[in-house]
Amino acid sequence: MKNYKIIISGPVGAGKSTAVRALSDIDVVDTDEIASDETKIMKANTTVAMDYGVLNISDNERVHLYGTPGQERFDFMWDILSQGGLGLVLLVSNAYPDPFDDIRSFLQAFGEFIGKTSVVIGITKTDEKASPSIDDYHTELGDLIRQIPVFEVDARDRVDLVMLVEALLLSLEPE
Amino acid sequence: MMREPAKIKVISLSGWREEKLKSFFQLECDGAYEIISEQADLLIADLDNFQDHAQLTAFTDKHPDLPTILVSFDTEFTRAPQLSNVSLLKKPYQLNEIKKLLASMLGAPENQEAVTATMALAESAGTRAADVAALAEAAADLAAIESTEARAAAEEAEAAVASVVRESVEVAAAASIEGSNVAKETADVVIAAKIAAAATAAASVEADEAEAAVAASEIASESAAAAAEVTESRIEVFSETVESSLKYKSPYPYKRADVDLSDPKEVEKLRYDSSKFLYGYLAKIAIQDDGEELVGLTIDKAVFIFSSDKKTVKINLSDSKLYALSSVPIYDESANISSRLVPWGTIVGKEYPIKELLWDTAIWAARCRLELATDLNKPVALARWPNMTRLRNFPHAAQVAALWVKQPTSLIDTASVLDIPQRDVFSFYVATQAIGESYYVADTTKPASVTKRKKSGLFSRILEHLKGTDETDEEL
Repeated sequence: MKNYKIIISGPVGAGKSTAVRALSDIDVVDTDEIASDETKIMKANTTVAMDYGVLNISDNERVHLYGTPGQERFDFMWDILSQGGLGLVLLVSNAYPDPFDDIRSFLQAFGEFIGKTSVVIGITKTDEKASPSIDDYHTELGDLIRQIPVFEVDARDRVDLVMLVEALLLSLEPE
Repeated sequence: MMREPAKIKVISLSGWREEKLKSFFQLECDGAYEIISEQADLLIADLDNFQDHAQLTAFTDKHPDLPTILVSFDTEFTRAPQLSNVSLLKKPYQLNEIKKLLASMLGAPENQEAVTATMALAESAGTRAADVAALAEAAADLAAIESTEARAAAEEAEAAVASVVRESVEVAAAASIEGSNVAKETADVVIAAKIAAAATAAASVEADEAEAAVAASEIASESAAAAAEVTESRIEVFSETVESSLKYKSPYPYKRADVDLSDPKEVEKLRYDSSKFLYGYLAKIAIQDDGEELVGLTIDKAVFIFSSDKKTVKINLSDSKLYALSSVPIYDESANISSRLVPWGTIVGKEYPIKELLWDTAIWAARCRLELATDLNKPVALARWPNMTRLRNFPHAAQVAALWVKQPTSLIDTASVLDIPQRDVFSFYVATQAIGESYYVADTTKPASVTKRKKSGLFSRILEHLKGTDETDEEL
């Protein structure tokens, strides 16, 4: 059996667990606990280790989907989970106060991994807050994201997520 | 003693050819014939010049027994008047053939030796070259006449198709209210469009022989194809009950086959003028500075109101009607287009982000063709990835985006490198141009990897798995 993995990361409440659930062929294994820190302001439960799902590509090929915990104090998990990954799907909530800074932080944190692989960015919750627009992200972040696919996505919508994964894989295609 | 020159009247010969004939009679026939305007011994007439046909008929009615030589490209001489003493000469012909006919119809000139000598001369290469030039001129005359007729027919048919489609928009609007009538109304429109297409094809029949006319008939058939395409698509769209699902599915019904892009004629057939389509009108308003005012565009009953920041457009059409209106040229004189200030609340309708609207209408207008000024050989770059989850998706768009964002590549090379149909490359180029996210780069050096990319087996399988389970039919 050949095993591959795709990492899905981003701040708390960006929709990572929902995205893994929308893509996975199996019931997602999560490690949600009742939020006890500042996270409880945003949602009742939060992922403390990882979310796990699977794409069964063929009889002998599987792609594992790993959703990382969002809190920075679990960032040691990010390195562990991302080892050997094909690439990173970064989800950022448009409803948060400073999504630009969230992107900067995560791109920096995963810098080494992204350097070896690739990354796509999904902007979630644009239905809750329409601004900033995708144009605003490009204006604000400029060259940092120029070659990175940045799409509006609804983490519950499988079609959106498939497009995001497709862009990730196409970004990885050899020149 | 030499006899008087025989008097020859000519009708419908071009001035240049008449001069040539005069010179031939004088120099090569030793003055045995002369061209006059009245009291002729013989008539020479060109049947292919339609404009002078009435003059010819009037003359032959008066002189039905006058010996006459008729020349034409038409091997059947279908336009020839009924005459008692006529010789038919098919184009192309040599002046010596005229001379032989003159001799047989009027009797040999007195100076037979001179005639024999000139006949030898007439067969010289110089004379042949002159005849070929005359033939070319005649062919050009004929082609110009027939081409004009065919183009007029094509334009007429195209206007008819546009009219039919506009009618269909009205029909669909009525049908949306009446509900059950839509199928019948649509069927009527389909039949009307098919009639228009058939009329277009019929109009092009006469334009088969000359090269210029062939080009015109291709325009006509293109128009007919557009009508058929629009019609078929409209059937699909009208049968769509849940319009919200259009985003990721249809309408992108195009199956245009690849063409030889090294052939200028093939490339020419791909060209279209976007300014004649709804997209062109919208794009013009989108970039013009109207201050803080709201600007509206009306085309028949369709209304488009731009927000003051030009980022949103409110439209009183469903996706399917918008598609129909976008797919055919709009004629200013009949479409009642106006650009004026209108209040936002004037209509109830869908609010379309301007980029989505320009993206869609550009694709539908182009139908996988290329703008007039598109350079197939200049490398194209993407300023960034388009927001593809909110723009209408079509086959291979993401593949082209991935290539252009990293490696500027010409349209020709893109289709080759990715091994995908030209139509999808052209559509993606037209769409990204419409939203201002693709541009030519100055560097004309070809990318190092202008060889077909090997598709990654694993990535393809992952995408097949994801899309297969999503029941999409996009090619990978």
